[in-house]
Amino acid sequence: MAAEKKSLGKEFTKGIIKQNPVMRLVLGTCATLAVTTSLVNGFGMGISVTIVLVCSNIVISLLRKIIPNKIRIPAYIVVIASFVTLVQMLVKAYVPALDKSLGIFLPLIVVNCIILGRAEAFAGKNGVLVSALDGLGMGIGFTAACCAMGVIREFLGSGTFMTGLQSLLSVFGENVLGGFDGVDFYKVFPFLEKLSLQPMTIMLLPSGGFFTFGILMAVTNRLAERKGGKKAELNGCGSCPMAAVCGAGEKAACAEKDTAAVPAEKKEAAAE
Amino acid sequence: MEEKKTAPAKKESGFKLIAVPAIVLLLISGIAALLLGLVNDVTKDVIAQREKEETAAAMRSVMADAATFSEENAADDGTRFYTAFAEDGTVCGYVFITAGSGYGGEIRVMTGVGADGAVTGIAFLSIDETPGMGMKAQNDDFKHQYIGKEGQLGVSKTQASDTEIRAITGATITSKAVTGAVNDALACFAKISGEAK
Amino acid sequence: MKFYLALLLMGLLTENFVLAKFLGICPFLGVSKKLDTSAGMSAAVVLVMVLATAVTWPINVFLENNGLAYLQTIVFILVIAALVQLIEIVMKKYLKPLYKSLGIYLPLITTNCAVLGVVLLNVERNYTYTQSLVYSLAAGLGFGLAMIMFAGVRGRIENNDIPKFLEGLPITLIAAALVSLSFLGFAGIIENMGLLA
Repeated sequence: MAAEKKSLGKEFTKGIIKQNPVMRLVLGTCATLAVTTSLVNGFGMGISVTIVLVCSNIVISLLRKIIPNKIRIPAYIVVIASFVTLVQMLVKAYVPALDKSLGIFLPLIVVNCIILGRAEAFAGKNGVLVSALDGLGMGIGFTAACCAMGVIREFLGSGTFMTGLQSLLSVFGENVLGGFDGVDFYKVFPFLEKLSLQPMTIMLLPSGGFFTFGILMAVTNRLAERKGGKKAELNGCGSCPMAAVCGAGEKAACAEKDTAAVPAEKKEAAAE
Repeated sequence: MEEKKTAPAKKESGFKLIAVPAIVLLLISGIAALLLGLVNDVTKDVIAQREKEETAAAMRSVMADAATFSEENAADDGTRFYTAFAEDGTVCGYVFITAGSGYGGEIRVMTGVGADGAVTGIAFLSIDETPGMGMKAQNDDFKHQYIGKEGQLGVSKTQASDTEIRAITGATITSKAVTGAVNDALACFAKISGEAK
Repeated sequence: MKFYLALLLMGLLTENFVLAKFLGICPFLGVSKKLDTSAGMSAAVVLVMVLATAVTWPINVFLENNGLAYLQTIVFILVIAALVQLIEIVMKKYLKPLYKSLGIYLPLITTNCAVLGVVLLNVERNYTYTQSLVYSLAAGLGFGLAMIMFAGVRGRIENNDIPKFLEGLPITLIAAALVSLSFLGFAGIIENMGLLA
C-alpha cells in the first residue's frame, strides 16, 4: 500500500515540476503565449484547462475498456470537446469577464496539445484515480507556467499586479477578499510617473510574449541542468505535441524510412 | 485517425470491424450532445439575462438623464438604436449601437446623443484591442472627450479641439475606429431628428 | 473587392496567425528548422484551412438556424478531424506525388489550433462564404510566410555563437520575438490604404 501511495503522489507531482507541460515538455504553447498579458488572465486560462484536463482524464480512463482502439482518437476528441464546450458555457454565464479576455482561446482549449496528449499517453492506459491525479498535476503545472508568464508580463508591461481580480471572482459575489482588485504600482509610487518611467507596453504585445517565454525557458533549462536533467527541446516528431494525435499514423510515417515520404527530412526532424 | 495503420491482429468479421466502433462512437457523441443540450438550457437564460443587464447598464451610463428607453429600433441604414425618454415622457435623446474596425477586430460602441445633438457619453460593448495600447480607449480620459461634441468629428494626434478627439498615443487606429463609430451614430441622429421635424 | 484585398493583407501581415495571434505556435517552433519541411507544412495547412472553412461554413449556418450554436466547437473539431483523414485517403489514392510531399504533415494538422482558430474566427466575425474562404487562404499563407521566414532565421542562428544558457529553444523564442516585432510595423497598413472604408 505504501508503495502505491508513493506512486500516486509521484503521478500528481511529476506534472508540476519535473514534467511541467509548458516548461519541460513544451506543450500548449499557443495558449501560454496568447492570454498571459496579465496574471488574472493566465490564471483563468490555467484553471479552465485544468478542469477540462481532470474531467476528460477521468472519463477517458473510465471508458478506456469500452472504446475500441481504432476509434480512440475521435472518441477522445468528442470527450474533450464536450468538456471544453461545457466550461465555455459556464464561463460565459458566470464569469463573463474571463470569456471576454480569453476570447477565441477558450474554445481552442480543445486543441491544447496537453489534454489530448495526456489522454493518449496516460488516461487511456491507467486507472481512474491515477489519471485524475495526473490530470490535476499537469493542470497545476500548466497554471503555474501561465501565472509566471502573466506576472512578469503584467508587471513590466502595465506596471500592475493582479488587476481584474474582482471580475474573475465575481462568481463568488461582490467584493470578495475585501474588494482587493490588484495593485497599480503607478498609483502606489507616484514618483514613477515623475521620473517618466513608462511601462514597457511591448511586453504585452506578441513579441513580449515570445521574449518572456524564451527567458523563462532559459532559466528553467539552467535549473534543470543543475539538477542533472536535460534541456527542454522540441523534437520535430518525438515530443511534437501533435504526435499524440497522429499516433500510429505518424509513427508509421516516422518509421517507414524506406518509403519515399521525404524520409530525409523526417529523420532530421526526429533527430532535432 | 490511424484506422488504416493498425491492421487488426486477427481477421474479424466485417460487422465487428466497422459496426462496433461506429456504434460506440455514436453512443459517446450522443451522450455528449445530450449533456451539452441540458447544460445549454440552464446557461443560455443566464447568459441572455447577463447580456441584457450589460446593455441596460451601458445605456444608463451613456445617457444618465433618461428615465426609460424604448425597445430596440433599426434606422433605414440598419443602425440599431433606442429612443430615450425623460421622466415626463418627452424624448430626451437616442442611444445608437455602431461599430468601427479597430486593430484587433470590430469595436462595438454605444453612443448616447442628446436631443440637442451633442454626445452624452460612449461605452464599449465589445473591444479586443492590444492591452496597454488600444485598450486604453476604455479609460475615462479618452471616453469623456466625446461628451458634448456634435456634428462630425476628426482625430488629432496632438491636441483635442471642439471637432477633434485627441488620439491615444500609439493607438491611432483604435482612436479612429471609435471616432468613426461615433460619427456614424451622429450621422444617424441627424437623419432621425431631421425626419422627426 | 477592396475588402477582399483587406482580408488578404490582414491574414498575411497585420493579423499574422503565428506572429500576431499566437495560433499554430507548436508547428512554428517544431517544424521550422528546415526550409523544405516548413514549406511542406505550410502548404498542407493552407489546403486544410481553406477546405475546412469551405465545409464548416455551411454547417455553421445549419447549426445556427437550429439553435445549436453551442455545439460549434465540438462539431468543428470533428469535421476537421474527419476532413483531414479524408484528404489523406483521397490524396494517397489519386494524388500520389502530392501525398508524398504533403501527406506526412496532414495528421499533424488536426490539432493545429490555427485551423480551428480560423474557422472560429470566420464564424465570430460573420464573414460571408467568399470572405471566409479568402480570409482562410490569407491566414494560411500568412502562416506559411512566418514559417518560411523563420526557417531562414533559424538557419542563421545555427551557424552562430550564442550564449550557452540561451542555446536551443530559448534563442529560438527570442528570435521569434524579434520577427514578431518586425511584423508590428505593418500595423495600420490596411486602414491607411483606405481598404476598409
